[in-house]
Amino acid sequence: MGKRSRKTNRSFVLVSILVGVCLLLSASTPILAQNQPKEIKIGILYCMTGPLASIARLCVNGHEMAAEEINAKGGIKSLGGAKIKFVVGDTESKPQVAMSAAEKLITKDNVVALLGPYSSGIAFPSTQISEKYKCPNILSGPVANQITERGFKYIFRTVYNATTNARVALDFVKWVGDKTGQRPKRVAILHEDTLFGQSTAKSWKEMLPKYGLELVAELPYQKTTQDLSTTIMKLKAAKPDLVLQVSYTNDAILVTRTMYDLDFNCMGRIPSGGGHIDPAFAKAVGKLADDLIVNHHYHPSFKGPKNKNQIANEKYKKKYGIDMDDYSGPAYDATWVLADALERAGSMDRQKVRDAIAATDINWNNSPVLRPFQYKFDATGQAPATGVFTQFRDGKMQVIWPEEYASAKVVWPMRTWKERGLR
Amino acid sequence: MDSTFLGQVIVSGFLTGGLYALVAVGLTMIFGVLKIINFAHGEFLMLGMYLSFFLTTYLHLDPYISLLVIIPVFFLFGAFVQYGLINRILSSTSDIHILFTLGLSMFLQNAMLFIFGPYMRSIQTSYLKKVYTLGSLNINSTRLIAFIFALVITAILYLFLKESNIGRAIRACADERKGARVVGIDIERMYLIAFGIGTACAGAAGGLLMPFCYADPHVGTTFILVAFVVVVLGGIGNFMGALIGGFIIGFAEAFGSVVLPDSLKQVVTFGILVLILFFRPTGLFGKGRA
Repeated sequence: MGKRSRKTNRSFVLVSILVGVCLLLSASTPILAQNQPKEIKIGILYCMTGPLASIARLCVNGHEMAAEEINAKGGIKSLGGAKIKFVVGDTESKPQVAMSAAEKLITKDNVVALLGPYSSGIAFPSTQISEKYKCPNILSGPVANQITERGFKYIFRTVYNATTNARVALDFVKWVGDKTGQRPKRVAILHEDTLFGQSTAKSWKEMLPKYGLELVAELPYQKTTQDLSTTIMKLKAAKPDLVLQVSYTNDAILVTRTMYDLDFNCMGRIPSGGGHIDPAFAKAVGKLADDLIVNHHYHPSFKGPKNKNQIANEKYKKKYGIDMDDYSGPAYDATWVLADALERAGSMDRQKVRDAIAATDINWNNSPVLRPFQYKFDATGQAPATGVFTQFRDGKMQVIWPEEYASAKVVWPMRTWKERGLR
Repeated sequence: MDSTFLGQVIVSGFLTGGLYALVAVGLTMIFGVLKIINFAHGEFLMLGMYLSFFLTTYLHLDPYISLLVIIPVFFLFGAFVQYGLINRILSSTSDIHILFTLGLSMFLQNAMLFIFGPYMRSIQTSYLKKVYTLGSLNINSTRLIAFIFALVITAILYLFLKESNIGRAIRACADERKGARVVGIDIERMYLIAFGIGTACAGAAGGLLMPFCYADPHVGTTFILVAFVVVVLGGIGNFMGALIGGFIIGFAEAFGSVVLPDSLKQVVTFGILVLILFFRPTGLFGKGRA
């Protein structure tokens, strides 16, 4: 051996063993990591702060409940049982922030796909980012037509668009008019002025003539306004029979209260979902909301196969203290749609996931989804879906149309404040 | 526009104007005495709304009784903020004042966001159900009460400034600081009191708004913008200017939303700001200092 001491010899052997072990490990870990992803990162992009925060919370509830079920059932099997992990992004209810939040989720957090936002005005810009980075994005809330009219390939919507929304509302008006003989003629449109309100109002305006209805007033307002007295005065002056409305939560509360203050009455008021389904609305206005007819994406009184809606609702109620609604229901479904697509894609590659979503073809008979519509996207990324109508009774919403889901008979025309004993 | 419509719009102008006056009077007083623009004034209003929310919801106090708590609490809070924070930057230049109070504004908004979350808070009171009818005019009791209280508080403040010794001392500070010091007025104490009163005005306005508005951490920003326009319109530091300016803007908004859609009603407010800055930058009642 010569000059080397025993000590050096020993440390040389130790080091070589260490190096050898390291080499062995590093050689095998890439294989392990690639074949067995532990989790699939999905971006959840909603207005967690700002005026739309309460609605966003409900959407996230729906996603969470679905993800827990998916993971409890063993995750995505074609990806070795990888579990879904949400990365939450906050748009702050602001379009510019939505874009940067989407970009962060896609480029820094490397999410496989995005779910949300809920609001049209926020989703329109954020989906531009999703499309730019070729990240599949499923929407279960925004209705503006423009969202699926841009020739985008990565954006999918599971709820109706503004045109369908408007058509369904007017079909309802025709049905109730025929049923009761009380047909409205003069229509006023009261709407918040961002994309949600504007696109729905536009669709209504286009369709009114086809239903023989006359537009007598169009009144846009800011969703953050604290005073609508002059707007409601203008509404009163126009003497409409029917008021079609688009509002988020706080403005919905303000509109109802102001109509009460100024004693505004009409044959019927039909808000298009939005904030009227938020439990905060019913809580704030209580009986003032009675006789109001609201258009929904989802209602827990649907009668799906094997009583699935009631079972899901009980589970949701146990977890969150309230019934499933327009926000959590479609969000829950969208998560399952994504899981189904991931299962078929068998890969975390965004292009493969996108193609799998585009090939989706499931319904509530063959999958855990809760809505009675076929989840099959057309070339623009739109799935066929309509709505269901409820009417407030004693501060609670009862389904009145379509009649197969109805739990109460419709009250039409709307009673005046005096007739309801409130003034 | 028929007479009912016109009448309702005028009522609306009065009701809104009264509240704007209360907020603006507090803001203008702080500037008059301390010579600083308090950008956090809107946040003090927001905090007043939250305090009212908690007192009403958890202690089940009547929202108007809770003002008896809010006003002294905010007076002390304002004095504390002045002593602990504002005092340290009083001798700096006005850009430092602006940066500091803006920073305070952002800090308060985000602290509230962090502690209480983004949720809109509103209170359910029986007052909301009561609507007063005057002929064909309808006025919700919450707005009427807010208007009356706002005027009462402003009137009390006016009398205090005019008649009491402390009030006169405060006015002396505002008019001529060096002279006031020479005659032996404790300037530092006047600062505390003025800032306290200004903050109490904001807090009281918040408490009056809570029954018919909703509170969230960012609600202050809407009110502060209007308050600034009122203060500039009336003349910075001028009490009467703030009072009258409040009503002018209240009416401007009410009539503005008749002619324009609600979405654009602030155009009238800011249009007035632009006009004032062009033609009379010292404000309607301000002394020519520019």
